Amino acid sequence: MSTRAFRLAVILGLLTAATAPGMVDARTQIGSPVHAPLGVASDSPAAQLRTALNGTLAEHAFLLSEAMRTGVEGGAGFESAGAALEANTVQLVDMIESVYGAQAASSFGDLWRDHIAFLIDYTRALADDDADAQTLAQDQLADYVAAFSALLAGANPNLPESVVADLIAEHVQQLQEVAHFSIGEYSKAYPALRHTYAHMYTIGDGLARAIILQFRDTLTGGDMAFSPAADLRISLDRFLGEHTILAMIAMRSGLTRTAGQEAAADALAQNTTDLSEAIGRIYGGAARNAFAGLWRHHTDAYLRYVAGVAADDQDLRTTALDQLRDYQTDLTNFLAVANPNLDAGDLTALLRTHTEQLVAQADAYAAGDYDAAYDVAHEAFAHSGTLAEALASAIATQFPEMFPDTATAEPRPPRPLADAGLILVIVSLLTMPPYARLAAAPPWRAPRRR
Amino acid sequence: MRPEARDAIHMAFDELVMGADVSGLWDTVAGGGGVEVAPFPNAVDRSLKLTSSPSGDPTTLCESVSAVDAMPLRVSADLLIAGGAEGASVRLELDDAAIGLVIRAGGVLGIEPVGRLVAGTVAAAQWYRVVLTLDPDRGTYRVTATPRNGDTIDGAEQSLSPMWRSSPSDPRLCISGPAVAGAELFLDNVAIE
Repeated sequence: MSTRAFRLAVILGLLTAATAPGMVDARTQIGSPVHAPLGVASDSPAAQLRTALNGTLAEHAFLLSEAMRTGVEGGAGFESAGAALEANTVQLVDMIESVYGAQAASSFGDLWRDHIAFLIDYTRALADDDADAQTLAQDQLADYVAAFSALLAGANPNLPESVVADLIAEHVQQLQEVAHFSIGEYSKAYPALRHTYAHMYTIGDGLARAIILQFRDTLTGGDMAFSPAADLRISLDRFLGEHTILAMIAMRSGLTRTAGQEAAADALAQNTTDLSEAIGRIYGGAARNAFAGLWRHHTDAYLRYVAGVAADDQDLRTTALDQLRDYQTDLTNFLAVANPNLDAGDLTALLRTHTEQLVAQADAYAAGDYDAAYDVAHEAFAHSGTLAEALASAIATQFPEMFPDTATAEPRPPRPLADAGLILVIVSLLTMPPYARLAAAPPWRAPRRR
Repeated sequence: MRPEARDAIHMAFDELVMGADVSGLWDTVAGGGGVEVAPFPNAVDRSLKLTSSPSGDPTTLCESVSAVDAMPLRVSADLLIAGGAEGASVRLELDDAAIGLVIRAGGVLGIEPVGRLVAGTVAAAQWYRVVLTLDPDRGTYRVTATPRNGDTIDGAEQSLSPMWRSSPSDPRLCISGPAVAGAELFLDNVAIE
């Protein structure tokens, strides 16, 4: 194994270990052990790269939106958001260094940090209604898109510069919409945040495909990395990660009773709808409705909890915590009945950790310990991936014809139309009832061998 | 950005926008390199980045401290040397004729022209909180450099030579670096009090 391949393996191992038992518990000190994943998902180096890259980029979108959300008022919360964002940047730069070396990683890091700063400047300029500063930030962002695209295209021949430029420009454009946080236009900011978050998975998949193709000898298992089983894992990563992010933002908004708390709750509810629809596509309409009811019950409990904290109402807090405990049991029972591959005890423990992390980050935020709040938020986001992996593995095991863990097609470099087609196929697969999906062989994959 | 109250000077750079002209922050900006706002250590907690000319001519920022009448005078700044840091250095001077502190990456914390104050090695790519305390009444000075995560390099109290005990007419603080092409000097949280 080459030095870089070894370093990449170490980085991926560390990223995987970030969700391992003990680490979450030790860092968040919420006293709940995290159980090992319930099943074995596609775990090739290529699949790990795809998962890690998508997760790190998705968390970037969350943290940048937090910096933009808190940036206008400044203060300790803004500083903590900046530090958390930098930690995420370091994580991303380390991944780039493990593949492309220190010099490329340094250039990547410089440009990445610049675009974050430009977007914060843009947010402030919007808040100050300063047209000159907005223009300056926009000009610098345009330069960044060109320089960053050239850097990536130069490092990887599978990344066409114009395609990368379009993707990055879209990312920047979406974040400029997220900047509407600064002028109180939450009805624009929250949908933009959701689009930005989802878009990170498009960028992450495009980069992962290109890198896996470039280093196919060391990043083995490219067929597993983009198999239907892996796609399912990534989809659940995305939905559950977004749930975690939006729940945290809604709770923080509720704690500070800011004007945007209603829009934050709406965004959280929309994620619930999307997640429920995804469940319904696999288990049917009745399951979708039952799941949605349970899930809303627990998101309402989060908001009730922070309302209790904000109002210093101990009874309300206790009621909310009781509801969250009930939810752990109720959702476990629901899922364990739907899928015999899920162990009820393990699943309850995973859900308990999830709810306790969200409560812990809110408590830290309410206490003004923003560093701790972001530390727990990071662990909570990582834990959502553990939960997604467990669920995806169990579902793929339950429906192996629908979600095989291999695909014979090589991963391809990103092409807009092809990627759009891929997304449409995944969406259509998820929207079909199970029997229909079995009959519809994905067009990019050869028939599965028995 | 320029402080109104001159009984003390505090400079942080978090509110500056990327690409802003920062020359107006200082009385004078000289040298062949450049100075710009940097998203370092992160995009929220910003600093100034000083670079040298291709020939290694450093950038020098100077600010009058004549209105700061507090004694002993305490000058502090967060400094980090990065990039091609081999041989890169920072000069922190209080009046040309008074006292100069030299921090050299990979070298020792030192005072010029007295000579090296052998107190500890300053590493590159590490933030140091450098404090220079000057007490003309007692005829002493003291330098400390504290990395963010590490033990303080304490220069211990030293005696000023008689020629330095006279009060300069218009004392200035000058920060100069990094004196090596390709290196970068990051500067944050400058205070004179």
